[in-house]
Amino acid sequence: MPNETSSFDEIYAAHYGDLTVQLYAYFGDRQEAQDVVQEAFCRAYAKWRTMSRYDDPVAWVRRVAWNLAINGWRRKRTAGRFLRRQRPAEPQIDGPGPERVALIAALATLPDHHRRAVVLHYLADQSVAEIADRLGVAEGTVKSWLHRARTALAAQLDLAESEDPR
Amino acid sequence: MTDELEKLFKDLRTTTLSEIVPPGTPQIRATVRRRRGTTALVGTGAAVATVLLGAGVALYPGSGTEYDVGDPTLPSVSASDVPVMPEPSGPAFDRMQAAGELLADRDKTPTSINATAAVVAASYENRMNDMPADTYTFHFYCVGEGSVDVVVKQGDRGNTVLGQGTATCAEHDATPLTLTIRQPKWDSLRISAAGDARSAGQAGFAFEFLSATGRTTFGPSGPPSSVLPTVAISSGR
Repeated sequence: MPNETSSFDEIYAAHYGDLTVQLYAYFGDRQEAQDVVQEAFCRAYAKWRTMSRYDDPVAWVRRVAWNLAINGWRRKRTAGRFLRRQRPAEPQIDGPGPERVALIAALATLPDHHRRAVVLHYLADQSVAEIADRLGVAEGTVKSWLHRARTALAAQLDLAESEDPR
Repeated sequence: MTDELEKLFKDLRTTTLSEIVPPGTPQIRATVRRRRGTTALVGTGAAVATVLLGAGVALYPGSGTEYDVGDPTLPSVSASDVPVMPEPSGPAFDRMQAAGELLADRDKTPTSINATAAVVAASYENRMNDMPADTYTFHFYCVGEGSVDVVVKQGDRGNTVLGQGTATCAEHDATPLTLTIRQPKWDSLRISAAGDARSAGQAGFAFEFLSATGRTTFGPSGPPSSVLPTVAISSGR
């Protein structure tokens, strides 16, 4: 049996960042995204003995993280949140640049489904078919969401419209 | 055709990844250990577990209480390796929860931006990241006795005070300290709360930021504006 502790640590190291970026784009709040991803990994670790035998435990973590995000887990968690807030201060970093601010702001104006489809496509590198399978909708629906989202983003960010994804 | 959106997302990914500091797996192990301990307790401990696990049970019926954590024969991180705050318990925890109940209903208030709750301490500081430029109504509720001096500052550092006041604690029908916070640009906010001798360690508090303009919901409201910060303090709602 592989060392469960090291496999968990490796998966955490490999996927925490990317998953946080995706949820940051979805929330518009990096701290909230970090909290949600950390919680998803906590739940995975709590049952890691079982999960480590899954073909793709990362898929489970992703699904839990997105479910937590969509269900507003962090906002419901007032009782526990203060514990995390007591952690040592993070290193100081510069604020986001204007392009990032504009992109996050534009994303926030999209309907939830459109925003999620865009994030999965551009940040999780998923195809239309994969997004459709994951969200349980027809591929045509995803194409429509992506098309509308891209049109809206292009207008808000003053970009030239480009081809729809496959 | 060059997809400008792809480039923007790629930049977003690159820059954000460089800023993210993962809390780390030791903290995960500490959290899971703490929860396992919590589920073994009754009373207030059970209440905490209910709050923390509620979402999981709802999402995954039948699996929410499964805690077969790792291999117990493997070396684990000792409790002294990770700084973990003790769980609040007893009357102070009840007051914290009572204060949390006074916050706006998230489902009915889309402009409720960020909120938290805790037990009053003699010195407390919190930080809200990524708060868009906007005008916020800040409510600070304190349940218990005594009072709490509250200061809201702009950014991760510096001493730009956007609002301050004193919240008076009450066991019932606590009247919130209400401040109008004008966030001049996309930035974090720091909130410090200093309880007096009667409230520290005994009272519970909760605070929230609501977009007074309705512009900001749970995400950003748009690019930073050039609104200058000013302060207006009032008491009561």
